Amino acid sequence: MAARAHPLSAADSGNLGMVLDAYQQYESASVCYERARRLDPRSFRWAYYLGTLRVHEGKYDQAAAILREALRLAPDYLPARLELAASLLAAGDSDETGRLYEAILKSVSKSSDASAAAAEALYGMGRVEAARGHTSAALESYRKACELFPSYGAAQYALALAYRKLGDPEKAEPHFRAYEANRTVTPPLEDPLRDAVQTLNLGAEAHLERAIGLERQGKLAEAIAEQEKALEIDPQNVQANINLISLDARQGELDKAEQHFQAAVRLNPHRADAYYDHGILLIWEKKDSEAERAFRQALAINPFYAEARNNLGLLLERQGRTEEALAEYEAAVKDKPDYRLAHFQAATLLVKEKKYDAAIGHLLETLTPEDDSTPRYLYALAIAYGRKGDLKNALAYIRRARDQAAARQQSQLLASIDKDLHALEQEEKQ
Amino acid sequence: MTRREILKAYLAWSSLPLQKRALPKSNSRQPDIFRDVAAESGLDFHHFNGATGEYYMPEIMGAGVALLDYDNDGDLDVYLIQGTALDTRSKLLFPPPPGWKPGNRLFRNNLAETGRLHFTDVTEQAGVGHVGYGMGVAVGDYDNDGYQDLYVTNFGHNVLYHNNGDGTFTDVTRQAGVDDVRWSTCAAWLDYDGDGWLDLFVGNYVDFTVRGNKRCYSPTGELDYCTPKAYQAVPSRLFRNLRNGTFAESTESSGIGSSYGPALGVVCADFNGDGRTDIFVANDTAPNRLWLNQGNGTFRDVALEAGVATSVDGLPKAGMGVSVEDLNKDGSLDILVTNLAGEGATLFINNGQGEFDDMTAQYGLAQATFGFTGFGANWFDYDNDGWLDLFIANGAVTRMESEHGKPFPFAQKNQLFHNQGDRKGFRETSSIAGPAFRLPGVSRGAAFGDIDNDGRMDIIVTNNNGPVRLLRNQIVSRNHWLEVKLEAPKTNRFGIGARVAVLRRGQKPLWRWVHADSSYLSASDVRVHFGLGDSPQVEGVMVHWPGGLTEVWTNLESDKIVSLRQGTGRVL
Repeated sequence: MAARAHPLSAADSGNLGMVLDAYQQYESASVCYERARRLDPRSFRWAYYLGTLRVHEGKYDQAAAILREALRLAPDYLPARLELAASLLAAGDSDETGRLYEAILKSVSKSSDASAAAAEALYGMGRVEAARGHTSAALESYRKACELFPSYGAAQYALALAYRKLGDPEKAEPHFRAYEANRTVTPPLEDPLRDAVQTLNLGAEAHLERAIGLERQGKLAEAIAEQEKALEIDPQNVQANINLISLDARQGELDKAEQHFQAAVRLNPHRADAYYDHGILLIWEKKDSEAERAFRQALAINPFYAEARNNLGLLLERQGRTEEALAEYEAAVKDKPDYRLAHFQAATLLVKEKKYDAAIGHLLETLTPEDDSTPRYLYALAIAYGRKGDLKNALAYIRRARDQAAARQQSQLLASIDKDLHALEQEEKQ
Repeated sequence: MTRREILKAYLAWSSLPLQKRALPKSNSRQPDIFRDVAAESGLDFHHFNGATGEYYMPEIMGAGVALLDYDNDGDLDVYLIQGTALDTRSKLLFPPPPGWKPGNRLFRNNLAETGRLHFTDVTEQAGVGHVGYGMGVAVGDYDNDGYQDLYVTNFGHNVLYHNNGDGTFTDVTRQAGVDDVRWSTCAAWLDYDGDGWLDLFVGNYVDFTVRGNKRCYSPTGELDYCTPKAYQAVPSRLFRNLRNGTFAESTESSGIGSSYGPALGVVCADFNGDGRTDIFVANDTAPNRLWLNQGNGTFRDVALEAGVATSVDGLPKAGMGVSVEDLNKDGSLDILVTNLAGEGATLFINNGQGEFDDMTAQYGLAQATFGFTGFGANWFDYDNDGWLDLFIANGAVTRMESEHGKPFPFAQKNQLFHNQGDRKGFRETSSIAGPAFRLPGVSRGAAFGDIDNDGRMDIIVTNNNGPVRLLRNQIVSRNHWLEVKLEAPKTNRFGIGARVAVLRRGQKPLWRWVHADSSYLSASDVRVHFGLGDSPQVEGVMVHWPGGLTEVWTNLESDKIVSLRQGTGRVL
């Protein structure tokens, strides 16, 4: 309305553009930013916003032209400089891209988010060198980017591929692993102008997305606040209610968690994940038979829900219904063959039943990918081999378990492993 | 003019959207490259997605199409996959048109009998009209009787149709042991153990159920289709042919089940030149998989190290359609994957050792495909100049801003790209490709083949909730061509996986390979097509058969379709 009432106001057009941009209506936002820019050609922000939209549309040539003009108005705005370099790289202009990144690297030491910007510029330089066919130079830039920001997923990936290209797969390996652990992580560069756009999205879905991001960072209270804002905007939002079941439970607010479950199933009685999360809540409340019912309800809606099967198996195992429990674990891994926990649960049960070969089969499926659970799985595998009487494999795996537990500083597990390792070594000597 | 009048004029001007300068009309008299002849040739098929406004995910994903010569009369027939209503209680948003028949449809090509391109619906006689929520189809002769069979993937039970050789098929799914009740999408036949009998890979998507449907919303708060991230991926399956009409599940033992994503596209080919068939799987919003055949019944996923798991910046893209060919004539297979709007397609160029580089931008495909959600796609030589061109079938999966207010706001235009030659990249030629390229649609499957046996490659394209389009290639060109159909007497009867080269004096061999898979949920002509450029000269054709035998045939003429029977060439 403001834009219509004041058609010659750049601010009103631009602000309308920002709202449309926030709701991903990029074509309409583009028209508004163009108008704002025509009305106020000396404003950096409208040009910057328009340039970033062109990047989003993949129109890199246009983006570069607009961002260049924008930077004449505000040459020091770092996000714009990085965006321009990235646009030129995507448009295939390696030479100018390289010059831009070099200039950025020279200037970033003065800025507050120096290492983030430097990491991004170094990664960009690496891409430039790679495009020129200079793999060693590219590798060096990627390596420096990773030193500055070790969880920079794209840089770790690029570094791994560079090592591979140079015929050094062993050096590539740890960088592939680092990339897999941080696939979408980028250096946290501040961009107040883009942040101003994002905050204009007042929709429930935007709050849910922010909540997910906060939860990933371990900020549970803030994540809960965002979920609740989503519910204020849209009280019928089932997903927010479902998300709050586990969030509230983790904060110890079990009654609230229960209320959100009830609200979720009132709105939609067919959400398997609602019943699943409720089942977890009931386990915490030591209400096993109700939890069993909840997981069965989840499976009635989604028979492929491997996690529900696994938890149902755990409850059945607690009741001594081992055959039924094993059937659930087996079904879980049939639906989700890479479900390591279910393999582990099945194996543990099979070891108790003295079915060592079957147990070992399951445990061998748990060894990749390597993460903090790996020492435990290796240890379990060693035990299974030991009980089977295969001392050689038992020792091999327990030593691997020990190395991994030590490397990950899992002291309690390490103590337990050391005890069993000693016993096995004694057995070996006999 | 008063100030008020000037201001009024300015306001009127400034309220107009930006006008693009109109392009001058072309004076060219060249006919359009492709013409849609579906209706006039009797291909009366309209895909029905069963939408009721609940936005069930399967509604937006189908469907595929197969080009196959099911009756061995020398011309390509068409098998089209149909949807159905997932929710029979609710009112349909797009009821099917009058005269519409439910179930998949088989259309027999009458070209061989009449000399005219025309199709007859023979579904009922053939017995292949499965009524279900159809997704895709894979074509292969799994029992080596010389007739191509059909494996149909569904949201729900899949179907294996055995071709009886007399114009009919039999549903043998249960006996064969190749059913899967989950949401299956892509499928491909391959001989992974090298025993001459085709095995079966079935790609599965996510654990969506109608009952457990989740509601997803567009950025502006309208109900929309969910992305696969709203659900969990389910593992794909591998079935080993036991050579007696039955199959054994080998998902676990082969290692295929050890890592997976929501599979949508699959191509089975030898990516590292070791003579064994590997499997590339395009996963939607998850890293792709490149399963390298280890030769002992197992596979190892090397996508990450090979550089084909994600784009160059390490981000998994959508991953729907796949096309694999030797694009730059270096003897190794390159891979194209189509993705969502905002991502662009990805072109992975093989360095000859099974390692790939993302060269999308360098080949001119990044910006051109960025604004489109691509599905079915394939490399094919549409002008017979010897260089592989590209067609991409496009159509959105979530609401498009530009289609706001329309009842089915997902339509986009398809694209045609011309290969400019030796590493010069691609130029989009959609504007001269024909009227069908100006019609937006929600295109999905695409199959490629010479449907009228005139040496020019045609395309059949399916549209979600829309009509099939048969794009007949009518390019006027003096370039020459050759089409090769392989025949093996006992096993792997159609030579799936064989590499075929045209040999010409003073030129490097022009390699292609025999396969029906690739694109999206579709199966293409198993004959191998070569564009030869302006020279009709053919010194010979070399075939590397699966299993190691290499033969050469000479005294072949260009501009013909030839059948090469194993054992009749000169063995090298």
